[in-house]
Formats: sequence, structure tokens, C-alpha cells
Amino acid sequence: MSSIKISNLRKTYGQFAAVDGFSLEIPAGSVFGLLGPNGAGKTTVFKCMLGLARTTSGVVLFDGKPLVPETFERIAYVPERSVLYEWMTVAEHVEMNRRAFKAFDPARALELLAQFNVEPAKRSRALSKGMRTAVMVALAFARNAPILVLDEPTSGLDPINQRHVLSLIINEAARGNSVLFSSHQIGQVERAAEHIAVMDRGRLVLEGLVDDLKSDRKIVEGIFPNVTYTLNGIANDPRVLRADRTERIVRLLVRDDADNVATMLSNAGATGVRVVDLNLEDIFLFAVSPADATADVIAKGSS
Amino acid sequence: MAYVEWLRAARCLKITAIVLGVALVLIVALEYTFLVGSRSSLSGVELHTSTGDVNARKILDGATTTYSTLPDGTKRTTIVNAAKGIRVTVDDHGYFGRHVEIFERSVKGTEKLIGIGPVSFRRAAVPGGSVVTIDTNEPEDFAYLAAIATFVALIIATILGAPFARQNDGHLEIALTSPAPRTILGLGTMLADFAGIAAAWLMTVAMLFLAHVAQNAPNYTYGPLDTEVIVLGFAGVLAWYAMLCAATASMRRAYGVVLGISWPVAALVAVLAKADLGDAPMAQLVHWGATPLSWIDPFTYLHFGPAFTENGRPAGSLAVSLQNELPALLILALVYVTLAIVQWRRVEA
Repeated sequence: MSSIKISNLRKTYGQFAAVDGFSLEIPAGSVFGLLGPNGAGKTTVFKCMLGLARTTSGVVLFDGKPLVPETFERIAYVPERSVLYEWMTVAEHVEMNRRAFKAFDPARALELLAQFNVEPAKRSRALSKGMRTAVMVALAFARNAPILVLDEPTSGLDPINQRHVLSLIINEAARGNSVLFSSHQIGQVERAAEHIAVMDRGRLVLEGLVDDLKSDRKIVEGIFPNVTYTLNGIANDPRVLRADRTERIVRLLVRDDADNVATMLSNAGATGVRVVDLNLEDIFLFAVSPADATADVIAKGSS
Repeated sequence: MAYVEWLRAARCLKITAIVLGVALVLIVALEYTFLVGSRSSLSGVELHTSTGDVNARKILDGATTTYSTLPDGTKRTTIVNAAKGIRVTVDDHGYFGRHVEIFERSVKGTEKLIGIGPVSFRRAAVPGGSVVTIDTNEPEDFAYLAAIATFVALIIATILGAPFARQNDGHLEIALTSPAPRTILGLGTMLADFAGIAAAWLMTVAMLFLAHVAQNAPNYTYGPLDTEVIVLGFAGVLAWYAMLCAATASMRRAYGVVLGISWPVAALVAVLAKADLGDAPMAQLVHWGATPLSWIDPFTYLHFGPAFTENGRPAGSLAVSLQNELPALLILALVYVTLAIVQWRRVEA
């Protein structure tokens, strides 16, 4: 059973659809990275999931059941911006969580805070942006919650603490807990997440296991001797998911049989043709950036 | 969330305690300065005689003063100004107060009694003139303390009066990811605030009591009227606090403006609705506009009558009406609490 199932989620603000037809299943015990450019709707998805914003339509189930207040005993959430009370001390925030959540472990919270070098006696207003994020992360990870929803959990943190947060995320997965997190740091997502989903303009544009996405897609690159050239219909090949051009260089995103596509590109006159493995950044950029307009022309014009 | 609100209320109470502490010191200092400072000084008499008929300087110019101690230990000061026909007797009972009698030959005063807290002023016509009697430690109705404490509680209620808006302003994620229904969270929050308000009420009563006992032996009376004043006061404060909560429950910012203008607006509405503004069309329009607003304004129902009276004893001077005002305030409180919760349940992060 998936720990979280989101079906056809839609959230509109007036005429604007912040999230549109978003569906996702997050398996229990997995680390799921949600990627997307600014304004893609990641935070809105989190808010709708957790009932912080009313959905226009759609269903969100946690272990097959709709969200009720008691569900939050099992969900820890770190918002993208600080929601700490500026006038309260960090220790008072720890106490607040101890009172609110049965499974909250204050000793663990203090231990994590010490690891982040945050003094519990300090008021929130005296903390830097990164330290505030660290406090929220520490409080969330001390919840002993089987589901963690983390919206930009490394925002503002220095590289050492970013790495520490990633380690915490991986540890949670090792304990069988589910982590859904978003980040603009694709390298972090690649390191921690086994599943990813990519959002763009409110829609889910790509989803799958990171390893699968990497292994079944390749980039075929080639260089043409002149700026003017034709692809002989290669861009319309069903194996070619996308074609981009920068001057004389052509990059083709290919699923399956990349070697064959590379041969076709060589036959079209390209030199230095090579097949390149994808990294997560390539996957993300291909998913969210519009195809090169010129490449579209090439694709249509050359077919 | 209730914990956070209680912390906020506790911070407010700390500041209240400091302010009340400073007020206590000032009151005690003033009492000693004006009432105890010098045995022969009549500055206290001069200070408290609001009618202007008795003036210390007028008495003392050309007067002879004698001191004696009565068998019960009372220290008596007698000031006689034969030329002006004035005789003043001050019986100082120390911690148990003072009794002052001022005979004035030239004044044919009418019967009058003024009571302010433990101090009473009586004027009576006697053969050949009139006598003003001042007692500084008369039995005081507890309702006076309750009325003043209610005023302080209203101020604290105003300061704390936007708990939901404060939550909405950047902290909603904390409240809404708590494993408790929003209604329970909301009611818990309001309860925490009201506990703080009640604590401020008690602190004020304690401060007033201390201010009294620092000067005089406590001499309070307590009767059904006092209970009525306390109950009406608490109902009024609750309705006021709930109204501010309801007015700000959907707001994220600018709730401070609502809190800031709440007193003048509520007071103005209550006054305009009750005042006789005359027959001019504009006056009638204002009156008609203010009247329905006054029905939902807690200030309209929250009055204790004049704080002091003439020709009446202090006890019983606080006119309250539990028959009309109390039910109105309780209904308002219930409606406003409901409105606040219903609104806040709909707020999105």
C-alpha cells in the first residue's frame, strides 16, 4: 500500500490553476523528491496534501484514509519558510512540540539542535535564516513521524548542514519512514531520493525511479559542419523525446536504442556523434524547459 | 497553539505586573505625601475637598493649632481660626484612618455626601454654620476594586484580542498541522487568553488592595452587589475579547489597526446611541445609525453606573443590571466566539 496517494489534485486561485490534475503515489518507506522550477506548484501541492489549503478538486489519502487532524501524529512537516514565533525561544518551540505531539522526543530535538549548533535559549528572531530552517528540521525529525513532508528543507543552510539534513533524510528512509521533499538543489535530490516527480506549471511532467529515468534515457549529441542542416526526420522518430539545437550542435533526448539514433544522426551529416548518460539535472531541465523553438522547426521542417 | 497563546499572555502579564507595580509605588508615595506627611498639614483636606468650600490656607491663616492624645491613643489636632469662624478637628487613628471635622460658621451648606472608595465627605448643616466630615477609612465596597480591575482586564483583552490573526500572520502551518481539530485549537487559544485576562484582573485587585493596606487597615464589605459587578465585568470582558477575535479572525495583517480603533469606535457608538442628539435630521441620522450598532457593542452593556455618588452611601453606588446587561453580554460573547471560530476554520495557509 502506498503511504500517500494523490489523485487528480487541482487548486485554483480565481482563474489561475496553481495545481492542475496532479496525481502521485508515494510508496511507504521511500524518499521521494519533488522537483520543479519556481512557481511550479510544489508548495501548493504540499499545502493541499496537508489541508493547509482547500483543494478545488482531487483526493489525498494517507495509508488509504483521508486526512484528519489525528493524521498529523504521523506526519511531520517543514514549510519552505520559517514559521517559528520570533518572540519565542528555541526551547519553547521544543516544549510546544512536546505538548502537541505524543511521539515527539525532546531529547532527540535537543540533540539535533546541538548538531546544527543552535542554542535552545536563543529567541527565533536572533537566528539566521539557515538556523531557523535547522530548527524546523530538528523539530520535524524529532517527531518520530512515519511520514515527513519537507518543503525546501535545506534552504539557507550551509553546505555542511545541507549534507547533515540529507543524511537525516536517508536515515529516515532506512528506518522505513517515507520522506517527500522538494529542493532546488538537484544534486541533493539525486543523492537522497530514489523516486522523483517533476512539476511544471502546476502539472506533473515526469515521475519515476531515478535510476530508471537515468538508464532508459540517453542524450545523443552531434555537431554539423554548417549552421544550416536537416535532420532527415530524426526529430520525429518516436524514440526521440526531444530535440534541442545550439548553433551547429544538436542534442537529442532518446528513449531506447540510442545507438541506432546516433547512427541515424551520423548519416544525416553530423560529426563527433556520441551517446551520453543522463544525470538528474538533464532529466529535470528536459522536463521543465520548453523544447528549443528552432529544434521544433527542425523537427517539423525536416520530417 | 494554546501553549503559545499562554506564553503570549504570560508576557503580557509580566508587563502588566510591572505597570501595576509602578502604579502601586506611586499611589503609596502619594498617599504618604498628602495624607501622612506632616501632622499639622491639611494638604490632604485641601486635596480632597472638591467643592472648594474648604481650603487649608484659608483655615490656617491666623489659626491656632493644638495637639493632644486621647485616652484610646488617637492623636488629635485642633485648628481654630476664630476670626474666620472655622474650627478643624483631625483625629488620627493611625493605620485605621482619619476622621476630620471642619466647622465653618459662614457657610450655610446643604446636606451632601460624597464617597470615593474608602474616603467619604459629608456636609451637614448645624446651628450657626455647617460641618464637613471627612473619613479616610470608611467601609469600602469590593465592587470598586472589581470595576477598576475590569477596566484593566479590558485593556489586556484588547492587547491579546487578535490571537487568530497573529496565527494567520506566518504561523498557520504550526497550528494546522497539529493533531487536534481547529475548533478545539481555537477554543483552547481563547481560553488561554481569557485565563491571562482573568489573571490581570486578579493582579489589579491585589495591587489596589496592597495600595490600600499600605496606608490603612483593610475595611471592605462584600455583598450580592459585588458578585453582580464581578460577573457583569467578566461577561463584558469576555464579550469584548470575543468581538475583537471575531473582527480579526480572518486577517493576516493590519489587525493592530482594528485593535487600535476598537476603543474609540465602541465608545463612540455606545455614546451616540444613548445620547440625546436633538431633532436635527443629521443628528437623528447619526442616532439611527449608531443604535443598531450599539446592540452588538459590548460597551453598551458594560457600565457600572457612576463611580461615586452624592447623597448616597458608597456601598450600593455601582448600579448594575443583571437582568438585561448580563444576558446581552453572554449572548454577544457566544455569538462572537462562534463567529471567530467559524472564520478561522476557513483560513488557508
